[in-house]
Amino acid sequence: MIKIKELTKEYKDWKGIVKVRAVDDLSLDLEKGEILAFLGPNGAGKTTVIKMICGLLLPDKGSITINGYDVFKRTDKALKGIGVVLEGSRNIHWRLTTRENLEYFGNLKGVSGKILKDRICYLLSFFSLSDKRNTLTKDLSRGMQQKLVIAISLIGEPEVLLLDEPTTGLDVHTTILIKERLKTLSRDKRKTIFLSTHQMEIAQDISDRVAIINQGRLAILEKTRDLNKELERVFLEATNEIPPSL
Amino acid sequence: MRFLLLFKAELKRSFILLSRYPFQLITGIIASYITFMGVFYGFQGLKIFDNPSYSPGFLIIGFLIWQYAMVAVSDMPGEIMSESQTGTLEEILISVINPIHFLSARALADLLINTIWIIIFLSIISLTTGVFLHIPFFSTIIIFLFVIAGLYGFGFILAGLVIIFKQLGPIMGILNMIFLLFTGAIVPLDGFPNIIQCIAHTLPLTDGLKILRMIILEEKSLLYVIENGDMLRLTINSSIYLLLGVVVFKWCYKEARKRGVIGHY
Repeated sequence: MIKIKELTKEYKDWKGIVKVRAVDDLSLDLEKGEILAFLGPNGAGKTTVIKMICGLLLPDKGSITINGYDVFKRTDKALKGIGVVLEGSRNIHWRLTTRENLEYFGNLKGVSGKILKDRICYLLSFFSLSDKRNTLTKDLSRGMQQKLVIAISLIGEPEVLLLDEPTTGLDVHTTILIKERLKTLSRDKRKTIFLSTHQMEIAQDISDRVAIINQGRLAILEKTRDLNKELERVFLEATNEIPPSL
Repeated sequence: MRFLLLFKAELKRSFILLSRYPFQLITGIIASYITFMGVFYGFQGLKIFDNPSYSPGFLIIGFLIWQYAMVAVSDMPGEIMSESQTGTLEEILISVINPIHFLSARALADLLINTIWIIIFLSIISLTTGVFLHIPFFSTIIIFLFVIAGLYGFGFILAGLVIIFKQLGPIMGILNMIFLLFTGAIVPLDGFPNIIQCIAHTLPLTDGLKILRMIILEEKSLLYVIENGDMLRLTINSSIYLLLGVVVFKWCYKEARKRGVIGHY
């Protein structure tokens, strides 16, 4: 579904001098219907990788293919089947209503007419936003705005979802709802989800595999089940107690 | 088909924002009205309209097209800046995939909105000054489209620079003055030194303005401006600007993707 091969990205200043190597020789594959949690501390390179997958950033080296199409050579084909949630909640039009935002971005993605109406209706209901359909986005709470951003990423019925810190700064209730919805999308709709986060508990709750990146390099790539067992073993060795969250 | 949908989305968005926030439109009309009337009565007082080659119609056409030019040139870079500021630029670019399509659709939507603005403005100044222009619809639209294509080429160049450098203000101020004073918009070019006249004719507005005045004020036909070579010069000029604009924008967009500055502001 997604194949990342030997990806490297350096940020340079205006003279071409390397300021930071954000991603260093990263290789990774994602299968259809899989949720991969992409973890790492701030500045580890998570957002850089997501922006390269969705074509907003060009790598210095390496390749990314989505459904067999090279993101940088066959951009239109490769990106046709992806939905993206970038970090922050300002990536929607604050002077449009919830429904108008969905209509606008739906049209931009080539969806229109009855199909668009039906999808908007479904997504508003799926994310419990039906009663806010005519509310200006600037008047929504942070959690509602984030649900709308995820709904917009789904308006084109993508097979792949790229989510950059989708639950950062949200309350517990909204975080639980978003986690449940992501599980449903993966389990029932077979969506492939690439989820960047630095919240370990989210990775443990919903992902199939966990990739940990540090200073641009892939440090760990494990099945979540195996990683949980390993963490449990380490915790037991250290404390002789069963960790409550595992 | 996809572009039409994109255009529809941009047009709808522009109309929603216009109906929700009409204050900007109203203040724009008032500011332009004050500027125009100041120039009009100033020229009348100086008896400039007594010159047979410089009628009030000459001034009105120049002023209106200059207004269009300013919107056409600043629209694309302005929209890039505005979307960067609000944080929606990356989301839009991921959605449409081709930034040229997005900018073109939004520019055309804004052109239509701007035409409503210009019609209201023209009606008000015609009623105030008592000068009513007879505008041959078909010929004017054809010439206007060629003029606007060249101006959008200019817009693409600026949009490309803005996507990398995120600054526009000082350049727009200078361009504003160049288009006002050195294209024959309000002052005829005849009195300028030859070298300036030559440079003026390389700008995307100068030849277009000259042809529009011939068609509206001198009642020349479209066939006449085709036969005398003016139309060919305009076509070449606009095509070069449009082509150059697209090439420069594409290069800047690729450079911004390399540097990772698309979403920055």
